[in-house]
Amino acid sequence: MIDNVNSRLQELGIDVNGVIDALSLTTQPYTIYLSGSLIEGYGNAESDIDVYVIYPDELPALRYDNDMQTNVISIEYLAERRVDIESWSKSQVLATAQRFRDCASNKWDECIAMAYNELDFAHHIRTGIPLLHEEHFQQLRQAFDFQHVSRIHMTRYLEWYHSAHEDTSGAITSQQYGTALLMARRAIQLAIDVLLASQGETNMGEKWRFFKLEKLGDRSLIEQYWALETQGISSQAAVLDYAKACLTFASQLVLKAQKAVIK
Amino acid sequence: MSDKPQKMFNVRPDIKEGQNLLIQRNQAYELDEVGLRMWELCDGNHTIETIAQALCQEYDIDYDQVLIDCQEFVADLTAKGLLQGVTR
Repeated sequence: MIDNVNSRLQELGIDVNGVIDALSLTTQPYTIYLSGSLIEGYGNAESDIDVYVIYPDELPALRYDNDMQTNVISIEYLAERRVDIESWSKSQVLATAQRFRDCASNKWDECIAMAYNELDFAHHIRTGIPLLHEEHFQQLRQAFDFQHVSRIHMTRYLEWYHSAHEDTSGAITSQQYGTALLMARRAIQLAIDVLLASQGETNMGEKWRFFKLEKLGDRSLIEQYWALETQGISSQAAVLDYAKACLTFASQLVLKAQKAVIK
Repeated sequence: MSDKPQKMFNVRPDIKEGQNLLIQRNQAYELDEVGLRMWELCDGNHTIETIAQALCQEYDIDYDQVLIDCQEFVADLTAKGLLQGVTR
């Protein structure tokens, strides 16, 4: 595995030893893995490297630039590339996996209550590649049911989509052009995220939405989405027609997603 | 009745706990599986006849009966404000 990882990292221009050195470890970790857009194949020249360091017990004293609730992020630079180092203890990871298992994916309030950093962590361990103690990495990874994680995402995005759809409908009816325009776009974007989650995706949002939609391979959907995102709108009346078209397309996407899950 | 029925913009389908729903404001209407498929095909491009033909093929059901069902479905949903007509 490490040979494969090394060759993949070489392709990406990432120096493993440089990454390890940047960690300045003082405590032996349980496992280390890389994740993020570069690893997933979406990254670009500006993308950072996400390094996850999992410690066997409590987190050691760490220099940190940011503290997001339970995990610590330290930001370093390596050959002009930013390295985000996220540190977790093994018990935090297992507790996170348990919270996912306890969350009913058909209950929107439980799904909405899942913390962002835990959703983010689940995605990154799903797509991560181990640098140290692969067996420990796999053990932690197996604590997560990623299909369940994607269903939780789907329920979250569905809830937000329904709300955006309602807001857009109200704005169209009341001829509130600005709200209709922005909320219609949001409804489509959320509908795409629902669709992506229905296909097992665990990291939605605008940054990689288009890439991930392309990965699904449905050219017709991509073309419709692109046309709606780039459509010129020349009058207030056209805004309302545009918003209606967005809602129709969004409903089509959501129905496709929900049917896919039933299958 | 319109030739090419089309969904109203403010109606959204939702499949929840085994129920196929159409939601418009604070009203929800339940459809069976074939009804939901009829709804999908009401896209402003299909006539009632072509919707019935599509359903015949997908569900292996009798055309004459499904045509009557489609006509009633479109009439009912249009009356409820869930579908609108498009004139050729």
